[in-house]
Amino acid sequence: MITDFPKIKVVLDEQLTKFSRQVLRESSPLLRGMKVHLQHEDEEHRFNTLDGAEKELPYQDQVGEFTFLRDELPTLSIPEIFKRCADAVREMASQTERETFRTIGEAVDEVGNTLKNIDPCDPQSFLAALDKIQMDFEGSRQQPVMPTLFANEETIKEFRRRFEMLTPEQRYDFEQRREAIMDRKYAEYLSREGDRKLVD
Amino acid sequence: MLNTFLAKAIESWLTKSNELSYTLPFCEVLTAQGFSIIHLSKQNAFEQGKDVIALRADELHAYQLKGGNITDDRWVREVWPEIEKLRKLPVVHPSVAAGTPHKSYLVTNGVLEDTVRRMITDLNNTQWAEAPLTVIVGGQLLRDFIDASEAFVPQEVVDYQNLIDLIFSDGRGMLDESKLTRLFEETLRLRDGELSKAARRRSITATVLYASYVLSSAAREQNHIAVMHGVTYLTAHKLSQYLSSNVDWDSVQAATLLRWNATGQILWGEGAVAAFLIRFWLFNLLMPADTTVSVFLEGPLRDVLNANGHRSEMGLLSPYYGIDVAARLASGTLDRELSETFTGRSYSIGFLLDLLARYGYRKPLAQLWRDISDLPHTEYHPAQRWEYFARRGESGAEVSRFPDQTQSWAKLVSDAEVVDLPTIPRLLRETPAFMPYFALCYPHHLSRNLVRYFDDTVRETTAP
Repeated sequence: MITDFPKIKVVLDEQLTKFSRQVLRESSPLLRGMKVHLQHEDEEHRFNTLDGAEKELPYQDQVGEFTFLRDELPTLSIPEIFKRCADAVREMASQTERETFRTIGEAVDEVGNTLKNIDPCDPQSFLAALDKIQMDFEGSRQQPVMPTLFANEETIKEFRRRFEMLTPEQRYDFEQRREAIMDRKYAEYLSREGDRKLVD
Repeated sequence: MLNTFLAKAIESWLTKSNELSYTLPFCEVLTAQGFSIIHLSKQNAFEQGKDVIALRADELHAYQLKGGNITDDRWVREVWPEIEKLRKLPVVHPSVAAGTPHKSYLVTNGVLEDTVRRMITDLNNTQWAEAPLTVIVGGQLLRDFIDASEAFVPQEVVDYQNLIDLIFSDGRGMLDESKLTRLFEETLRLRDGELSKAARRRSITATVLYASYVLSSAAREQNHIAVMHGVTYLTAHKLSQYLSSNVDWDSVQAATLLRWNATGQILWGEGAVAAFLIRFWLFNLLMPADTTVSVFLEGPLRDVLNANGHRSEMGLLSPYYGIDVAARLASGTLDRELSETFTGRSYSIGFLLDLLARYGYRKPLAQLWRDISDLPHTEYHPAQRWEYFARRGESGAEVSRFPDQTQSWAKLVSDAEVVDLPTIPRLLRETPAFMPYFALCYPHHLSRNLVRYFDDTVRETTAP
């Protein structure tokens, strides 16, 4: 007779899922902030965008693998087992993030909103990017919903360094331009909101 | 005196019943005798030997129901331990003060073996003397059922013939609708406006008993659809009686019912929206000129927009989750983590919008359009029509649609009138009365097209 432990397997499965989700949230700020919509039946999802384009959601598998050899199982410590699981989940999170940025990149390219050949650490590039982004406000000009900036640590350090190197005049000019962009964004927001109405 | 043949028919039904099949008729008899049923067993471990708990005046009564004869062996092995729990463990119920003593009953549709009867008598005279066990056996039960039935036995020969035909049907097909409804009309005395409220109460008891008799053959054949069909007719006829224009029964005006229904409703999830649609249709029929019925559409629409909008942290549970999950979530007793966030889309906004447009409620839609235009409607489109009736479809697609940002009212109304008839399952086209049950059981398969179609059928039914 082959011994099986169905109840223990169910508990382990639940605990592993819980642990994996926790590691996923901790290791990926992008995924942590995302809404999760489950599709409960079938695997095809069609949607339209605000500009009326019809799209199909291409689901993709994201896999993180871990293995335990039969010989090492008796000697593996519990922390080591969890570490291997966590490593696999981190790898999966990393793949998912890369895939997410690739998908966003494609969508941005499609509408011609990609900034090419720019120096990402240049403060002027930040303004150029800000100018391209649609922005919402919490009802007033003073309450913009600022977009999240994703970049690697080195890029952010370099951006900060260059920003701090700006002269007072350059910084004043930067702020003036930023305010002008925000004014324009607010006007666009009001126009968009004004369009959302029921007419005859 | 009840016709002997009919008494034999009731005896035959009772003999063939198990404890589950005679529980509800037994409760009806208790109700007719002035008891209020406060608990009915769900056959789980928490029942503590009590299948039915009833109150009469200040007295508390607890019943353990059994089917068939109770032999010596069965008594020792199965029944006695439950009777000990029935007698000893106090009734725990919000309607009852803690520590209230109760009377205990063992009920069976069979008989007690002599040794068992003797043992219970001895126990009642000794250890159980302070709280003896009362036994109700098949003969007494039969008398109670006959008593409750006899005042409302069908009077006309043709009705009597109908009853006998129904009782002795083979239970394998659908019950004869015309015979069944004629029986209910007769036993509820629907055309008799002279009955007192007490007599009507007794007529309901008798009708429930007759329904149990005539549905028993279908139940034995596990013909659940026929049973559901019969129970639905029974409920509908009881409702007809309740809402009839009889002086005694017209005390609750439709407007009062509307007020009761419009307040205190909890939208525990998007799965609950279907119940609001059904109330909307019902009150629209009862009070066609009253625009306040729109509360059944406007209320859930506002709740969905508030809960599922982009600024909300936690949305309403999608229709893929039932009220049990909602209750567990609210009470912190959910045994698993919900990984899903429900904001940013809605499974019901589309058909709420359609119905409001169909009935000309422009003002609330104009007021809410900014939020409406920010929330896509999502629904499942099965590739095969049979998949509407599957718990989960195997093909097809989930489809999300943003409303237009600037929306023409005229177009909204004309779009809301469009029904894609070929995609409606034939069962729903041929039996639109099934739609409310479908909506309640399959809220995750309720699409805009189905709701529009059902609204058409309601309109056609009520068109002058």
